[in-house]
Amino acid sequence: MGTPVKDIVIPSNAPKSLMLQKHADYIAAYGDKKDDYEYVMTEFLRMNGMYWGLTSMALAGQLDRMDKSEVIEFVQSCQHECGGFSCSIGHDPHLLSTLSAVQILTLYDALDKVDTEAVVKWVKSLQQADGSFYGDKWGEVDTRFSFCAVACLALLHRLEELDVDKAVEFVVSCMNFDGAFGCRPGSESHSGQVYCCVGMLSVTGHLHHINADQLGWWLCERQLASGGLNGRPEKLPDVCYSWWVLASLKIIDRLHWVDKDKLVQFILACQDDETGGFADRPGDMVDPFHTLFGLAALSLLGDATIKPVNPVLCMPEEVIRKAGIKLQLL
Amino acid sequence: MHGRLKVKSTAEQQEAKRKEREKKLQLYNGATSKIFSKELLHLCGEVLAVNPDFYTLWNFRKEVFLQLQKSKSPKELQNLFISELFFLESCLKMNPKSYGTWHHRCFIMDTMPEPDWVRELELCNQFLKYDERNFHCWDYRRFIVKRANISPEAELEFSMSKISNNFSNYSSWHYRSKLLPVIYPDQTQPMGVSEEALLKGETKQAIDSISVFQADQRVTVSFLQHIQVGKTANIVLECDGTKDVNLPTGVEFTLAVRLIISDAEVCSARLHIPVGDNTSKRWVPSGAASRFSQELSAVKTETLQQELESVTQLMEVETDNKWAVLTAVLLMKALDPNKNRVEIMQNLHKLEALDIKRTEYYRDLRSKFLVEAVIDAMDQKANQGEASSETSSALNLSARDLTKLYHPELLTLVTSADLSNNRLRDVRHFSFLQSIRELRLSDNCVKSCQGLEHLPHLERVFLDNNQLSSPESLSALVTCPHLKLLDLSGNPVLDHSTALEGIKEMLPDVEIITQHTS
Repeated sequence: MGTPVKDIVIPSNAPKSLMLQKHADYIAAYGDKKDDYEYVMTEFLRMNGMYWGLTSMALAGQLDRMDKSEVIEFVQSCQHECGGFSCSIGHDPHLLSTLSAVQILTLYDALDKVDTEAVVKWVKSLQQADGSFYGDKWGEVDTRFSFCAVACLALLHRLEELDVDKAVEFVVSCMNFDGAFGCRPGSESHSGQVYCCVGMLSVTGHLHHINADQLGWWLCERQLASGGLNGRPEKLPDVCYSWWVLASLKIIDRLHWVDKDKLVQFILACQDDETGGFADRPGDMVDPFHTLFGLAALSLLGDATIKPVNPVLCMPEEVIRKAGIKLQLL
Repeated sequence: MHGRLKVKSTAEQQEAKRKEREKKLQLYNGATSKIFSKELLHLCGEVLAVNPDFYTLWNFRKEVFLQLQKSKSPKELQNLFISELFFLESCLKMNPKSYGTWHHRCFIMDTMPEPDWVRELELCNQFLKYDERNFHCWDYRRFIVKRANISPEAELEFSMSKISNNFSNYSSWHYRSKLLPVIYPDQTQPMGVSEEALLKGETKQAIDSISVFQADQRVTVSFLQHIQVGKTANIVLECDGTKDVNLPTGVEFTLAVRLIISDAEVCSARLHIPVGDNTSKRWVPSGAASRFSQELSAVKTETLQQELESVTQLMEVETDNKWAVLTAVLLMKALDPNKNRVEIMQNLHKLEALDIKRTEYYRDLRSKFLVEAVIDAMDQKANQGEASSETSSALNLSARDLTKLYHPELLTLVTSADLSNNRLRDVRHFSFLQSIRELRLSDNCVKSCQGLEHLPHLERVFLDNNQLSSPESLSALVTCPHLKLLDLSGNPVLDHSTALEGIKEMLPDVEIITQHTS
């Protein structure tokens, strides 16, 4: 017979209600342990980590607990002469950290604190003849970078600087027979890449390329008996896919195709009631990455204690509205 | 931090762990601070071995190799590159899912003097044996296949061996889906697979396998491939058989439109315009029985019919196998959606009960099929010359458990629609109903009129027994110039004593019904 379905069983003592204050406290304290092994080992994603943490705080309505001037100073010191941002001081610039930097500055309405003209020039320089984007000068191509590039320039109100038609053409060429998307043309479908590609088509207003029923079906099939969502068929559920899958479903107007109550139950069970924060699965170690995506997913699922989140840029709706960014939703 | 179990430890264990971490931290900090000043490949290697996502260190190694290229002999260089490949192999064994490590390996292979592609392919085989779903490794395989010009036929054979080893391997099925259009191209659509190949081998295999194994997602999906239509297309407009589209006046003429993909006609529609006729007309698709399905050849029909029989048999044995039921629905839809309508609907009801997490998906799918059947019927009537009759401009889908009005763009000529007694949640895409005069939406779950803006002919809207809860939820109606009647009875908005006055103020020329006399 077929392979047994990979899934988890939610322990009976797992948390069943949202501990928002504990999560905010966890994030607020995270940056205080700068000599901690965990903290040092994750320096290569410090800028992303700051975006995850600050956005979590913003969604919890407690951004003012964070040291704004310290954050902005850090972001400023990570900008390189080329215009791109590195993940931390002394590291190399990369599109992944550049989007996080631009998101953080948007969150603080502080884009004027860096050289945005240089950012535009650098992002533009990474676009290739086939429409794809390099992540940095070393030439790795991935649809994640297509999303980063257009999201960055949309936040800077400079989207028209890119060859949008070519960029869209490349992303569409990564669509598979199941309606979902992979890293590059030919790559297998993966929910994380689906989010990037759907988000990219939303930012550029090209969602008509998507077969929403086909893709929506593939996405809602990601929900397992435990209620959690996995990233690909035959994989374990993980809180971060609650975001990648759910946000994509929201953008293509198919959010109701998953069982919301069961999903909420799964996400809540991934909270750590001792330390605060969310883990990938119940009983695992928490981190800021899963904390943001747990909170953001709960927001999309209608939790009124968390601020409404924008499904395309994973930032508070009010920030996106204030910045005047228009995004297409089906 | 994926999949790291939180272990409750004793104070003693925690102390030991802390010391160990401190030691690692010292080494790590020592390494990172020196790297930018000294050319210490091995030290940087030690850090990467523990932390392969430290991308700046991979960049550093790339710089070093580009420098070495200038100073070393080809033989020395080749040896240095080979040892880098060994180092990468050990990193990949520890962490096979690091983007940076795989990309560095691509860089090394592309930069070294004599890359050994055969050995790399073997390495991929090994890694895929260890984890057959590692998408990084599949992507690396595609990179090697491209560089080494390995034939798609050989790769198809490889995918077959992976599938026979484990039928439930989505990655292998995906890999095949990309190879088939290359090996058996379909001249009529880009990225299509020739019908012959599909019928003789590929689909047959997938469907046959259902009856042996418990069906799961990839089976249904691989079947879907050949009932899909291509993407990029040209549209050709002709008037009386010529491409001259200046419309003549005072004479009868026929407009035709054809959709062309790669020089092949995919579908077409025609419209006959008699003299002095100013009424709106439907485009009638020519040829196909339904605009929502592709026409099947005799041999394809026969094959799909056989598959449907074997899936039906499977359904009898495994009554709770949702994949079998869903496959049967798709096969029946592809074969003849109108003839099989009753059975399709029954099976979709069955799926709602079998797969309760996705109930709403099946309901929407059922709604889609319902609307398609209605549009097919309209097309048929128009084909028989009844286009201008009253019936074709009236849409009746009341009490059908409708959750969504699909294809509103094909309903622009509908003048009255009865959608009452359904489960509609919104009317967001109703703006396509540009000819609508009367809209019956009684007994639904509509929360807002957003979508009804600027409907030029809308006169009467029945929204009784919905979930409209505030005057703002009705604001879209302000922009409808001919609105005369609005039924709001049984909506929560009327629970507020002042709300009605607000609504009357907002819609001064509209008669508002607030209570039904029984």
